Amino acid sequence: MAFKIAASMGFKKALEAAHPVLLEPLMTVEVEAPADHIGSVIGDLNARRGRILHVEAKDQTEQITALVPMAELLTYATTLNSLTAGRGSYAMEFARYDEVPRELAVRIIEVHKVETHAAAH
Amino acid sequence: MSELGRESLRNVVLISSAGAGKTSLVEAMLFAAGAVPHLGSIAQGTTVSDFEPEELHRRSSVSTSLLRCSWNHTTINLVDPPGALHLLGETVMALRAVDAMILVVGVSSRIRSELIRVWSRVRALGLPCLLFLNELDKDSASLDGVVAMCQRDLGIMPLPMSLPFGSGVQLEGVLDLLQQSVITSRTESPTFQQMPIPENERAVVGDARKRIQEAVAERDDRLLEQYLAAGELTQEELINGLRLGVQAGTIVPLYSGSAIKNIGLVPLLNAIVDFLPSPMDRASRVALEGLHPDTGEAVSRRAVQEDPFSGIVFKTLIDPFVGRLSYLRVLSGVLHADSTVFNSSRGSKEKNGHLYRVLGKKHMVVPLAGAGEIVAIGKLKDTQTGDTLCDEHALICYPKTVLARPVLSFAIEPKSNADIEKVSLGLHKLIEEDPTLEFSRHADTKEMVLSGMGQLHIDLALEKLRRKYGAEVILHMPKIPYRETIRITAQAQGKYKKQTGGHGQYGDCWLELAPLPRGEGFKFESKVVGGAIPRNFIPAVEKGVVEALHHGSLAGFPVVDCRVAVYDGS
Ligand SMILES: Nc1nc2c(ncn2[C@@H]2O[C@H](COP(=O)(O)OP(=O)(O)OP(=O)(O)O)[C@@H](O)[C@H]2O)c(=O)[nH]1
Ligand SMILES: [Mg+2]
Repeated sequence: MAFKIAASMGFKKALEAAHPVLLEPLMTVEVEAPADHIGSVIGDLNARRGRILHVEAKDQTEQITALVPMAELLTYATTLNSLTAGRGSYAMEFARYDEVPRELAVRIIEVHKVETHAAAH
Repeated sequence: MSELGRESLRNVVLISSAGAGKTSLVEAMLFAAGAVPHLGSIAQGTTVSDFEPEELHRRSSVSTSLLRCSWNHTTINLVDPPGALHLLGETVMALRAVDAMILVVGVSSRIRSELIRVWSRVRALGLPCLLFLNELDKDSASLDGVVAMCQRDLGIMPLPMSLPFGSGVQLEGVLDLLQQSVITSRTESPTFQQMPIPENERAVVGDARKRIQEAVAERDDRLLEQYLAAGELTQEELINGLRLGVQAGTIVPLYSGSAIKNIGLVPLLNAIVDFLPSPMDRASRVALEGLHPDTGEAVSRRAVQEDPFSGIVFKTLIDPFVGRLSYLRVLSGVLHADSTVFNSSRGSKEKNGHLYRVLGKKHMVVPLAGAGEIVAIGKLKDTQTGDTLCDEHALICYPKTVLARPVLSFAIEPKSNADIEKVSLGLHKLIEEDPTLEFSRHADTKEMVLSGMGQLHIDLALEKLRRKYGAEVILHMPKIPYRETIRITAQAQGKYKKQTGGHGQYGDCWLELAPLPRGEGFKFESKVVGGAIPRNFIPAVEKGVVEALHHGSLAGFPVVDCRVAVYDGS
């Protein structure tokens, strides 16, 4: 028991010294959109901190594969619909975790602290 | 059921952009064929096909309905799925039940994204197709416009088979190019009047009929020779040629009319019987092939009653009162009520209850269902939409239909504590009815997450949850499951000392924390030498670390991708 508590304490100390950073889930997103809407779709993905991996033409449509943070995709269904006049579709899948950019991480941590604080009261 | 019985069966799905008039057209077919006494309407909420409360107040279908009528001694099963973009899963599953389709184009609804999306799947299946131009009673109706649109958006070249007689609000009937007659009808009565083509329409009809003759002749060298020599084909050659062309997918006949005015139905019903394939016709083109679930060997069935029973469940309905109904397309053999079948998708035996023939919300008990038929089965326990059922002594499993995964997620919170149980129970039942919904509890954030194909889909699910299971929820944006990790290696000492009575508690360990590559999770090792910490205390050290791992130092998210080594202590 004493060793368990000691180890927890030791871990917390070591953690703070080891430059902790925030990670966020990234999704592999596959968007299919008509060729004439492709510009706005790619522009929008970039604005969502997405990284375009691959663009491929298929008949009249283009297929875009991109890596986008999950946090940026919460309302993507609605956005894609309006960007493509209902012609676009997409599928997504968890890809991996990656570091959140510094300034953004500071904000997320701040918000989270306020939330947990509120929840505790 | 005799050989004739199988030959005289058609299974047809209706496909269109949302709101083109599928449900109204089905209603008109049932009325014209005498299956219902009155022509119901969407506006009054009286169609046979749309009966769920969610369908009635939206004035559009939200789930697939099954209907049935009889025309020229042929039974026609009609499958009417919703056209809405977010409910495409319904249409995709309905394709498993049928041998052909009717593509409905509304003058006002045009061809929209939802249709184009499902079109590629339909084309891949090579389903024979009839086209129906609906809403001819509207002034903007133009046959040429529709032909051009189908060519551009769907890559098909429709062949007009009927022309409007009268136009707009003055529409009285259609010119049937094959029968060379005018067919007029009214909404009050299912009977129709047939008259010779009036003088002033003869030229137009002559030209249009010539195009049909050419289309048929072009498909066959012998017919072409004869057409060139004689200047025309016999009625029998025409009908045979059209049937072959439609079933091979090289001819797409275009019919036209108005569903709400009961106009244009007769030529369409004739075409279903004359040109669309029976289950056997279809199976002779596209074999019924599957795998043996145990050996993985390729096996096949013939669409005849003499073969062992097999079929695919394409829809599941869960009623809080009636219980579970599984809609099945019998592919081979005969299914008897109250028998034992094998679910080869799940590897389990199932006892089925009654069998029902379905007409909208009405279910009529039948003792058996033969190859080609569509029935609802009562009381199956483990069977889900998409599963193969078969004879327990002759196993086969047909390929599963791949549905799109949901893309929009919400965290849901029951409105009251009393609802928690109902929410989870109700959602699990809704998911059985609709495999394109997903529901789970997120391991990190502990939230209940409901995912669907779009806002409409989610709204609909919650509406059903309230109506059928009496549970209400509030939606939130789901929390993002953030995590924490470290950049550099660090070491620290953890020391704990407590004096209680005679026994002192004491623990002291030195830990080294080092980053691991992304995705490697967590590793623990002991590098303690010389028994600085007794070996039997090492598991306690690991436990302490694992517990602390759940709450990182930045914002309390789980810590991942690090290696912890204990290397000293006392
Ligand atoms: N004027 C006119 N209106 C029609 C006709 N057929 C259908 N409508 C109207 O069009 C609307 C949609 O018709 P539905 O039959 O519900 O169409 P649907 O394809 O089943 O719609 P979804 O199930 O939502 O895909 C309703 O308001 C109908 O009354 C027609 O021939 N003429
Ligand atoms: Mg409908």
